[in-house]
Amino acid sequence: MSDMKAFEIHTYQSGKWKIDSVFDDRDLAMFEASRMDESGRYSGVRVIEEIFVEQTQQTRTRTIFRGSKVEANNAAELRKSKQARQQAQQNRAQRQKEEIVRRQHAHKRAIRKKSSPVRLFYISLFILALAGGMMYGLYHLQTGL
Amino acid sequence: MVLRLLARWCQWQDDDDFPSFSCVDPEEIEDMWPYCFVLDFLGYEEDPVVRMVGDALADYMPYDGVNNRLSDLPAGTLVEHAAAYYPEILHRGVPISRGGEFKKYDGKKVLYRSIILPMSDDGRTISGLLGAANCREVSGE
Repeated sequence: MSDMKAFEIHTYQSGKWKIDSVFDDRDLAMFEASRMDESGRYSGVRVIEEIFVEQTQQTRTRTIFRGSKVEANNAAELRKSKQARQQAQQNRAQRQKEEIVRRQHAHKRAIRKKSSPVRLFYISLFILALAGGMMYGLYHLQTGL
Repeated sequence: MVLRLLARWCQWQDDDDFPSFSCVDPEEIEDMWPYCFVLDFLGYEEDPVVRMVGDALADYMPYDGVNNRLSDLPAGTLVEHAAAYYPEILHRGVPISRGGEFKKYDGKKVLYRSIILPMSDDGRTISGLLGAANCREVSGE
């Protein structure tokens, strides 16, 4: 038993891949696909090798040719996604940096707040007022008795 | 030749799914026409009728098989082998090319390369097939 091979030429038309023709000969399919690609008539040309394995009754496919436009598009897409990934990483790093700085500022503000002389003055004033109030209360309590 | 005929078929196709036989001018493809054959299968889906066999292919037939059913062609002819996979074209709706070898009715081994192209009267439904094949005899068998 031998595996069956077919070579499908696909063309990209109206936003989808369409089977254009089928060959049982790899060289013929590749030659025709190259010719079609060079004609510039199609925005994409590719050759799919289809192997039917009789033993397992399963079909395997793989792309063995991609037209220059497809290659160019893929490369452009790859470049675009790489740039987007890098930009996202940069944004994330920038955000993390900003967050660290923000935390550092908040921490410093908190320390400054804790050791502020104005704050200490108000706290002392509050304690004094409280003590004065208590003494006044005790004095009245004593005189009243 | 199969690629040249395929290129022609693409030109005839224009914006239709399949070109019409009315686009085919034998004089325009005079170098390929002797290697062509036409199968009419509208109404004969199970067993198409051979409507035309080019002169070069006729040399590989013991008698003229025009207007015979495909199954009635004698075994070991080029047209029989070149047209054997026509159901696949009906199924997939795209041109298919196959090659192979067979033993001719006179016992000689023949290598061939063929193509079958779907044709249509309305541009959408396959009503016939245009096939072509070239071959060479291999000595020693």
